[in-house]
Amino acid sequence: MSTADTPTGTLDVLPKSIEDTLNTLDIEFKEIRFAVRSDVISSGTFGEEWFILTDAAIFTVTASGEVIHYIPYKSVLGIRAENVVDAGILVLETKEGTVDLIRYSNSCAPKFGFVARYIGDEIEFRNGNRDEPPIWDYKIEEHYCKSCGLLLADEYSPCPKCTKKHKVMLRIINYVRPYRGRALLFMGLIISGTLINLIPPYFTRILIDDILQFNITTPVPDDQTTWLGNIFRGFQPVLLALSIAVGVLLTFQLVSVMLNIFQSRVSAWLSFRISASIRAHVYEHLHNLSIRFFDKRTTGTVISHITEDSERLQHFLLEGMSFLSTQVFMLFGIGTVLFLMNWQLACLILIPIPIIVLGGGWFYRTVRSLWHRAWRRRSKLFDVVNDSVSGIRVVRAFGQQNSEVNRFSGANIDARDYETHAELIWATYYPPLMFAVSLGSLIVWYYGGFNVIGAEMTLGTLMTFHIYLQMFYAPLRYVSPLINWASRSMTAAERLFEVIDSQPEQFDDGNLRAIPNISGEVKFHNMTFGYDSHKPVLRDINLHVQPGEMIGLVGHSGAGKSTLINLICRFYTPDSGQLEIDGEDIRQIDLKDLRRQIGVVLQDPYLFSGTIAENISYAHPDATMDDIITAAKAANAHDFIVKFPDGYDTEVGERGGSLSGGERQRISIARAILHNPRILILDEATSSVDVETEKEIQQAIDRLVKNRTTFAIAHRLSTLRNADRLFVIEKGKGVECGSHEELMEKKGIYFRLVETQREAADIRADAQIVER
Amino acid sequence: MKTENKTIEKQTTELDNSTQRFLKASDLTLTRSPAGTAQLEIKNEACHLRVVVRRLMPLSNPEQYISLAADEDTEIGVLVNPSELSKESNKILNEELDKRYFTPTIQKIYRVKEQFGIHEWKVKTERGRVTFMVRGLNQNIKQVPPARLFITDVQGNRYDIPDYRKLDPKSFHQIKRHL
Repeated sequence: MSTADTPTGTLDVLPKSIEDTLNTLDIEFKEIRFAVRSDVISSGTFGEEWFILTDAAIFTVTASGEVIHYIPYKSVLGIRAENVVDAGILVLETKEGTVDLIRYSNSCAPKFGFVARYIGDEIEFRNGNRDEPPIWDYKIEEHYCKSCGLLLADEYSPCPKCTKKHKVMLRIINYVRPYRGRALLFMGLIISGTLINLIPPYFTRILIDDILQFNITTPVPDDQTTWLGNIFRGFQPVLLALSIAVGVLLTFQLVSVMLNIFQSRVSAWLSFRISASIRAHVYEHLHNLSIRFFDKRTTGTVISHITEDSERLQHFLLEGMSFLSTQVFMLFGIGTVLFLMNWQLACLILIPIPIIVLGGGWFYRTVRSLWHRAWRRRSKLFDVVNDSVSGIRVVRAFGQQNSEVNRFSGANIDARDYETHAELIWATYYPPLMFAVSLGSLIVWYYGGFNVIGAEMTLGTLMTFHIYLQMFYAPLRYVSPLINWASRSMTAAERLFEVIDSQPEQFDDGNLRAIPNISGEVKFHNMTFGYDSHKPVLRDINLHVQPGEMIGLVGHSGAGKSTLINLICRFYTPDSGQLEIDGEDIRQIDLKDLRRQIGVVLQDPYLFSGTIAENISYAHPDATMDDIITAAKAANAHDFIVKFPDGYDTEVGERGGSLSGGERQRISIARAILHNPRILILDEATSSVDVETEKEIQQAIDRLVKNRTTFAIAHRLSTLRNADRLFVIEKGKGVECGSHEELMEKKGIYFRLVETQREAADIRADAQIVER
Repeated sequence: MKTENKTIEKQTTELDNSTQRFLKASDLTLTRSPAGTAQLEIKNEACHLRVVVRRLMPLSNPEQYISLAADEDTEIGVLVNPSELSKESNKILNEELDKRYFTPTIQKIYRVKEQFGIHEWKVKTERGRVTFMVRGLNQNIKQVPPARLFITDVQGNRYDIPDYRKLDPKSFHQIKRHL
């Protein structure tokens, strides 16, 4: 039986009570090798059930210890984890027939997927179909934060709990460091701007109390004037005092405007620089991340990381920060002044503050979510338009104009209703909110007016108080949206830092091997891989490729051919087994060396916007024109390039839109030739072109593959006629390997594939004859 | 013997390749094998040891149009109206459908709590109470017009709310905040 060392307890720990019940049964076993807990019971409800492997048998047991299945290990022929809709079933093939062993939800799928793979390999090993016992390499796929245990999105994300908001702020400040002079200047400008703004209302008081009321017949009593007021009353005649007072007001306002301009300029300079350096950092890091990072996120999310999030952050840094800091200074400055002027009155004006802050908070939250919903309906509406306009030919051809119009009006009415609702809420609740704000000034008018009438307060003081009050309430109104704004920007910043904090594709642990000159030997040894490791796409691949050999990868679509290529490019790493290049584990090879010596020609070649020459020399920007032309010639591309009016300077446009499929393909082959890789990958390089062009491309490819280790995928098997060996993959397993002749002789899967294609070719030939 | 079977099978599948076969309910008998799998017997034709059942319209018409297959790749035919089967066969069919279509239906939402962008849902489904985590509600709640919702949790489990407007008021309130 099995010789593999299987550590128990790394999966799930079997409760003592169940172990005890097992021991009371009269089924003999020496030890429990491992146990796995499922979260669904056989009736299909959530619960607990156990899968147990002992040295001699497989059990499934309920939580109370009742045995459901007991199958001797010897009678097991095969095992698989079957994926059903949103769950899984462990299915056993036994000598007595098929058994649906245990059900589980997707939460348990990784565990059971591993168990099926492990036991399956062990059975194969036992039957002699495998040359070594399976390796216990179970890893937990769920990712929890190491310090707080919070569930994370994937292994590349930092923990949102442990990266606190204030830390985010501190990190942003880190980016300010290179510009600290300007930052200090900015702070200084904000403080002085606030102080300057506090002064003009004070002069209003002097204007009213000491100048406008001043005439010879009714002198103002001494005890109610200030020292500054006395000075102004000293100026004679009154008009002179008035002009001086207004002049002073003008000066302050001019200074305030100057400060404002200066502050905005510094702020703009600063915030654009900070966000640009964050953006640069994120973008640079993005290119070092593993392909898996991009698998988990759509292109849209990644793009919005760089553009939207950084824009949002920048917007906040530019306007939010200066607005926030000015307003906070204002609030405290004016608050102090108000209390110094008249503390009783100042206390009274605090009354409406809770209404303003809380009401405002509620209001902005509600309105924002309503607008967000309306916005989503609107974008759905655009989707409908986009959908039917892009498919306008289909719509006309099937005469479905009316149903399209109806679909649009449905979405249109939906959008209309949501927008109306949002606007109605705004229209209803905004005025009362403003009323609450004005309540404060009503209190001041009444209470202050009372004091003025009772001659306890001058009219000037009341007026000044009133002006300060308006300045005091203004920032309060924005407290809630500002907090919102700030927190959203911090989230945006967090997302940006998430990219920066994600682990790069390869980190140097000191063991990396530099291989400046790869000879091109590629070896797969019992290699297994799946994009989700519990759903293996490739299983136990064994293949040894000599330097310079050309291997044709054959198999139905979805068999795993492209996955194999992704592994050679090291976009992913094997889950178990080895992939070696020149005898060196691929994980230990310096990626820069590896990628420099791998060339790829894809079915739909990606050309970047730029000229043809730039595209050919993409990997070697310093290539000479001679090299480029030689490469183009070898790729059968030179002749058509010459015919373009702009020759090698022809702009290819976005994704090479102005060129035909065959032309783009030949340019990408020229790119590969110039790159001069040791390992070459051809992924359906000729499938999207007509027969004539195919000949030309095939010629170019034949020149390209010489003396390079080549892996070629092709649906048209005829294009693989130059391959030294063909490797046939069926459902993730390597099933046949050998030359065309050997495999034809074998009359296996490859033989059938060739036959089917021959039939199809015959049909095509017949059809052509009929057409003529 | 075995090869003979195969050639017969091949011929019949080739014959039926272009026309869809609709099975007659009266011809079909489903039974449980001793090992617990569902066996399908077609009158005067064949017996399949482990029949694979699939819904053709799992969302819009889960009760009708059931595809019966001999294995993952070989369909035997389509049964339009399983209610016409005998009571026992129908029961087995429903058990097999329940195995293949796990998606729990949410009947009641006790609480949705958000912490650091992860929403913790405490709900009651027809398969019992369950708590699950959802990240980024926008991407993981899929709305099928007019009011059906599919919620996908961090571990890839999917939960179904056939019509959120028909939930009890408290549950409705919980979900409405997140739409």
